Amino acid sequence: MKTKKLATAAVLTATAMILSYVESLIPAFVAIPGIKVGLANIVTVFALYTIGWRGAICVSLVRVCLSSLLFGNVTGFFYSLSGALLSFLGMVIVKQIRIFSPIGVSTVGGVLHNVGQIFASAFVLETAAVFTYLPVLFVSGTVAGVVIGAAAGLLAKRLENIVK
Amino acid sequence: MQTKENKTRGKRLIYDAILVLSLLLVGLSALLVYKSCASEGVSVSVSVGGEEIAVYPLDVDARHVIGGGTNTLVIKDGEAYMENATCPDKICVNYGKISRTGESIICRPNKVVVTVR
Repeated sequence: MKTKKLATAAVLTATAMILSYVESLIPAFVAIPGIKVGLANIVTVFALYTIGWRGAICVSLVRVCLSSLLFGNVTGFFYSLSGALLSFLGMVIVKQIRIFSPIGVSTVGGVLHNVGQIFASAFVLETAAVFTYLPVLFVSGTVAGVVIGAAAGLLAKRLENIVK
Repeated sequence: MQTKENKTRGKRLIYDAILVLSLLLVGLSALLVYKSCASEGVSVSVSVGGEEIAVYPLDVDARHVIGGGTNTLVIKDGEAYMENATCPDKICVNYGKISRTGESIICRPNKVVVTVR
């Protein structure tokens, strides 16, 4: 990887971790496990549109690992990882098809992130009861995805000359 | 100005909107279906770490300590709620009362799941 890309990826990873930490400080408003804005995903989407998917997946994975190590726990890590992997896969595929803007791509990411977490929860808790939360998380994932995508898309457009 | 780039952007935004609206539609209608299919609950099933450890009737007021003290479940007036928990986020405690079939309170850190049957 080119040095500039590597350095950029490192900075983005750090930014994502800070966003992840800040988000963890916000008390869970709504009493449903898994509902969150996913601020750190702004960085993931941004990375996807600036340093490319190879850099972006590094940023995403390293961020999940380090964030869980620093302010999380093992099961939390498993949930985050499942969500992040599924979400990233979806976003890369959808971005390739070139039919959506960053907003659409991020929305797919947001929804898949929640879906991934629900499947991981079902696996860990060995219960299907978690699936009753799917509709709510679908809606919240979509809303979050739109907002995150709008922000990331705007940032990517404005900063691409500096970052690319 | 209608540049080619703006035109593509506009088209993509339309597809975005279709996506978002469809997702919202799916989510909201699924919610409606869940709500309308639910009926008065009869009992609550409590599972810890994936294994069902107890089933309590909803018509018997009681306080149950689950998972060796990590969570306290209260059944009162046909409803069940988590009174107390050792988890850091207390999502399960703030969730409120459940009483209809399919509703559940989940404490992810402590791996406790309480479902209404």
